Amino acid sequence: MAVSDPILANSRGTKGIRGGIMEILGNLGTALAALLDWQTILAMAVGVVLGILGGAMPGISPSTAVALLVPFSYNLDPRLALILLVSIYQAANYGGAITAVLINTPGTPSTAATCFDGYPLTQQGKAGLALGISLVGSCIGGIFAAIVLILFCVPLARVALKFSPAAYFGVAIFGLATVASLGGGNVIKAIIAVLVGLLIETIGLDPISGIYRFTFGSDLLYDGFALIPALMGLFAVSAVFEQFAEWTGLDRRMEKIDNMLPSFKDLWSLKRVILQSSVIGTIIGIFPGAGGTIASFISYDTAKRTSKEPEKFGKGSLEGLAAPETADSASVGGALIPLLALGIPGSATDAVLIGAFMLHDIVPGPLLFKDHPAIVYGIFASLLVANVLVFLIGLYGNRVFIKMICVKDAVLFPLILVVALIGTYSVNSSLFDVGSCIGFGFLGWIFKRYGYPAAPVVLGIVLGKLIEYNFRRGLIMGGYSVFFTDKLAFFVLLLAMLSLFYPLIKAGLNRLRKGRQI
Amino acid sequence: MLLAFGIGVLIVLLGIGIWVRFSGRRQYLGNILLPCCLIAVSLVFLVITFGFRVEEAGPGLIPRLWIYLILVLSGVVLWQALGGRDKVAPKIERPSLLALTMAMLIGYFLVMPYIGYFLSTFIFIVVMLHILSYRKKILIYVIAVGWCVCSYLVFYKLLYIQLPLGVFEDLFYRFL
Repeated sequence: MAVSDPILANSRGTKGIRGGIMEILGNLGTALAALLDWQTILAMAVGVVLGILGGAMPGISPSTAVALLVPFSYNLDPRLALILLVSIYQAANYGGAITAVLINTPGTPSTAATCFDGYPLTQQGKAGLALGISLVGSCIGGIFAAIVLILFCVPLARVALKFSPAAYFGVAIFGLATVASLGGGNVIKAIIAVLVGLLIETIGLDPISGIYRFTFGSDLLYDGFALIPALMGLFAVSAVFEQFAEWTGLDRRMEKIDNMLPSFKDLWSLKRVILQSSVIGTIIGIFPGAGGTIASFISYDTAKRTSKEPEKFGKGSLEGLAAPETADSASVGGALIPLLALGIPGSATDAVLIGAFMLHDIVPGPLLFKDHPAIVYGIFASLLVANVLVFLIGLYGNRVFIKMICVKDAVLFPLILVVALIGTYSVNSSLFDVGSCIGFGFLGWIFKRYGYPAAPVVLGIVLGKLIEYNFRRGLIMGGYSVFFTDKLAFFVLLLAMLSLFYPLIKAGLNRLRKGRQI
Repeated sequence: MLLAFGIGVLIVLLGIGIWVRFSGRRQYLGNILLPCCLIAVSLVFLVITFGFRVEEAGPGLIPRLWIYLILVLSGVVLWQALGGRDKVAPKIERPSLLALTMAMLIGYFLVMPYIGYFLSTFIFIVVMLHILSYRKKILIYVIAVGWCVCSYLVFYKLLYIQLPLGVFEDLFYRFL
């Protein structure tokens, strides 16, 4: 593989991660050149197509779309597998805009804000223009975030290499805390979901003491629950159960679209909003738990407040359409920063990507830049190119996608169940994994039904071992006081407590204010 | 002893379920039972941790931390549900369809080791499409057969992954 040798050769013999701007750009150039082989281009193209389709189908989130493909990437070269999955992730955020614009149904939760102005434009006969603006906004937002990712990830990874176990524990707890508090809904239930995931991850062999925990005498649980069955069950199987619970059996019918390319004049008038939303989306995407949904709503709100024509928002405003789409796409690159540099997933889809890394025996985090720079720069380069492919494939393929999205749910959802089960089986050829997948599916459905989000469960499972290992190592090395004397650990733990308690304090103060008014 | 404890917990849960069902909080049945189940499972796990060896930063430390937090927070959620301050779960529009799908999925998983992936998947897809009132009857069988053929090509020819074949293993390798 041409790209790995020069990048790895640059890193060999160095004590840490080499990351000056010229070296980053040099390695990026090498990685871009390596993308030019047919297998990589095919992987990206397939990823973009699957991502757009997956994102467009209501009921299938980007995390579900990526999760369904993870087991099938097992036999691919790790670099190719991750490029494929990242392409799906990036493209799925645009895919959600198709149904949001055409039938006022967001394909992904993060495209809910796209409906506000996208669907009115369709009602005015401008469906093509609406999809074109969504496409351009997504492409530019995605490329902006990819550039930020490339410039900031390597320096952050170098800093992270110096983290003590206590600091790493603090950062992981901060990640989980913000997921629970920013994810929306009931914070207490979100924390319980995280804790359930953390507890599930303690099942099996304890790596420090060597004893088996919570196996109930069964050798099937000696290795605990694998990540892939949990991913498939909590995301894919539970999503299908949700669909069947509210089954209507109605067909989707979509408008025909005409010319999609917006005029230069329209695009130029949106330059401020697109740039503003790119920044908002990237920054919000960095925070674990914030993600595309929050980014798109904040961006829409900001665009409305700073617009010269705020009265047009909600009635087919081009700014109102471009803002959430750009931010949503930019949040992908932002979310990859903590994933690659720290090994902390920033979103549910990031948690799925961690599963993909682990499947290929690669641990995301600062050492990834030292041990597998070709993979890192491959992801960087593919993110840039994938956004361009989203634009091209979206522009010329939207009519085909619209026909494919109209496939009946009666056919789609049973096949999703089959794919989920057999994908789970294919990783370890284990029927126990298949049973676990179904069990997690039930758990995910019951949790979602009663307001406990499923994504924090996955994050708890993904981060459980990292948190426990670093906590116990920190304790062995310095006792409980190390979490106070280590400045970084103390600071991030304090931030974590603040992010957890802030929504509760705010809700309490609101209730007090309402009580005084009455 | 653990088994007796577990049975005791199940009886308590059943009692709570019956009480809620016939009290004025029927719509909160699930909201009450779920934290009760979390508390019950956490207590079982807590009892197990007392059997781990005791040492500094030992194997029981972290599980007990998570368990205590689950117990406290589940207690808060339970208190909210009992006080009628929790959000009621949405009505299931098609409970029979959902229950049938879940039963089919479990049945699919249970029969797969015996009759193999291809036959069990064919039956699963055909039955599910019929249950979901898919109108094009011939297309149902075309989709099911097409899916099995695609699975064979993808798993056996492309990915070199063997799927469960059950009693048809000998037959499969003789002819394919």
